[in-house]
Amino acid sequence: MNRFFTKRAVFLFAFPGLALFTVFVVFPMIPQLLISFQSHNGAESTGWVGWDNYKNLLQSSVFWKAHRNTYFIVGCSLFIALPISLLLALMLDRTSPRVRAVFKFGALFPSVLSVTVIGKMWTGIYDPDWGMINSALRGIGLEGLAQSWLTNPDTVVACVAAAFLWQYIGLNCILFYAGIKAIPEQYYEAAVVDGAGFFRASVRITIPLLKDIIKYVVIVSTLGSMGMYAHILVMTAGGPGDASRSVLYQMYYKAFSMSQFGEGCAIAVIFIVECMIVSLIINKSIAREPIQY
Amino acid sequence: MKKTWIGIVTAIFLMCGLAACSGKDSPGGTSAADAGTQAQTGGAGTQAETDAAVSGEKVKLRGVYLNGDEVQNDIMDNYIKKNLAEKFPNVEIEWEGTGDLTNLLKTYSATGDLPDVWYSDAASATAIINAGNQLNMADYITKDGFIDNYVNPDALYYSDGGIYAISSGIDAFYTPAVYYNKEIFKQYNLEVPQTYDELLEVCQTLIDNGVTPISITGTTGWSVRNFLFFTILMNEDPAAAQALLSNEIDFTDERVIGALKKIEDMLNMGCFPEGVANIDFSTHCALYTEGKTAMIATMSWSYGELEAAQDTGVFMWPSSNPEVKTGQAIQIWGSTLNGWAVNAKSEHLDLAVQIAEYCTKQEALRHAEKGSSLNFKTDNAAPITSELEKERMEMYSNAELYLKPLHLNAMDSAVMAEFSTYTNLLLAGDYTAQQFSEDFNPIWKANTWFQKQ
Repeated sequence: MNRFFTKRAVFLFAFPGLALFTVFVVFPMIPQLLISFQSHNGAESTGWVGWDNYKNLLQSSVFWKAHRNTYFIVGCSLFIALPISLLLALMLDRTSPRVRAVFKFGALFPSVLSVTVIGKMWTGIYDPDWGMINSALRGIGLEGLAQSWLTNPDTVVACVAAAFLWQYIGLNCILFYAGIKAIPEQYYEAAVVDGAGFFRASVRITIPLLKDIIKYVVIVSTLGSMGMYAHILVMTAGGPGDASRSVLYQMYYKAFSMSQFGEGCAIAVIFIVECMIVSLIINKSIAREPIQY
Repeated sequence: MKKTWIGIVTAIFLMCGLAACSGKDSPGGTSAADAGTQAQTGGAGTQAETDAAVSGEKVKLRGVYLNGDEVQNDIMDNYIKKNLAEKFPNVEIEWEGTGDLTNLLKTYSATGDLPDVWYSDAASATAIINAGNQLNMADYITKDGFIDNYVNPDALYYSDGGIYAISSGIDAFYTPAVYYNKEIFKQYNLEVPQTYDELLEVCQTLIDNGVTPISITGTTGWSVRNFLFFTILMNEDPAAAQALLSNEIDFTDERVIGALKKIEDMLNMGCFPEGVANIDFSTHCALYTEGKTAMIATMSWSYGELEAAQDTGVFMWPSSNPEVKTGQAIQIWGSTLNGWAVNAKSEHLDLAVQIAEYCTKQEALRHAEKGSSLNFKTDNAAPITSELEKERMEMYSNAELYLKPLHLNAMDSAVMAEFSTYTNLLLAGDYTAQQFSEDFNPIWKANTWFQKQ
């Protein structure tokens, strides 16, 4: 058996996946990289322009605004949505099976809904006239706070982020919960004997032993938030003006709306590099050593 | 040795993948130069068609159409697809419908995968034409006499003298209009406004009574981009509108800024629904049809839905200049690049042109049966049955100047996209006409549209 699990066997098992990844992910990047150095209108190339596309991007305020928006959403995902998911998972572990079953269904439901449905639903919630938020604010006498949430450049990104994060909080919670259930019960029993309560057991036992799951959820959430596009398209189309564009939306806008595929591909190349760097940082910073129960 | 073999197998696999992923030059491997020659001679594809006829196999073509609304779907399902097999028994067409023609066609053009026949739109056509992929059909439709079906054949010619798209010509009869709810007007004793100031008075009365005056689409600046700005400008000074359309003036012109300022003022006054910058097309229609706004400024193709929902009247956007009569100058719709087009590199050029002609004819037939006015002559013209549409067409006939939409006839893709962005921003508030002028004018100056002409 030991010989079976040699490096060669690992390579053979990994080969189909690696080959598909190469053909469908790596190869398409090559023409994209080449187009990023060309002036290309989507139908034809009109010549090589060197680094001009990249220079134009770095000098574009919209490009940096799109980055600010993207990393704001990533920040919200990591520092607001993930802790909430984890807290919910910890609480879920302490509830009755019936409550747990209902919660699991409710938590997973948004993540299987179409982005269009979620986008339209949240657009309705934010509607300045009859939306739930403004209606609630008016109902409790805070009419002064009611506003047009999605056309205000100061609130639009947070509003779209809320819709996006809401969709995945439940799914992350279920992932954390699955991780919690894998932790042997004896640890908690020993902790109770030692006088540890819910908070201390969570901090000293649950969270350290969840590092692998946390790492997975952090990577998926970070890259998912960086790649946010559809929610913006449905809810604001990047507006008002360019206020709610993410990096990916800006890539789409440059390539398909403005027919500047050269700059669009340059954004894609920069974005790929960013994603690789971010993944590397997360990989290096969380749970480098395997956890053994 | 084993490592070498693994390396060779891997390399072969990856090479196969690369070959599979690479774009093909053209269907059937026809080169651009060949396609150009074929286009000029008008004799391409006959060998392939003959081969197909001899072998008894059906000729297979691909087609892309716009399935944006019920009218388009009705044309495709009941007038084109239904009858095509009978008209062309030896042809099998694989149709693909899309609501996003522009991006689909650009992508197909870039990958050398354009269909044989498609419904062209102005936003993507120039790039496809410049890449040599959209056939100049002038020789074909002149030779076979199809061009004689047009009341005004000149309307088909693009600025370079070619004909790249053929259509029923209904677009030239679509105009922006303001439709109003007669019951609401009666309830508040309002008269149809004849001037811009009277329109503002009507709006003020409605606002004072808690009624939202005018519904428009704000997402991507749709209404402002497509007609509102240009209509306001031509009702202030038709000469300025003409000058802007022909690039003789720019967005720093006082009259242009004045038109933008009127939109800003109306927004600040509350003439449009709250959060209008994020109101999409279907919502803007629903606001009117559900009686939540007293008026709707939209394109005339929506009249059926509006009059079915409310007791509706119509008027043209009122003039803001005593020297300009309301309805004297109106904007029409369309571009010479909107209509059925053919792939210049199709293996079956003659057949593809015939299919495009047939689609155009069927489209015209459908519109004629519904009582629409067309550039294409048909034997089935029916009278207009809608009183509302009759009233609008009367106003249309009384106009003295017809101008095509600015964004489709004076802007390249990049400028059009940015125009959308800035008109959307204007509707969001806290953004003035003056700022619009300062921000957008450099983009307008970089417009390549007029360089191509």
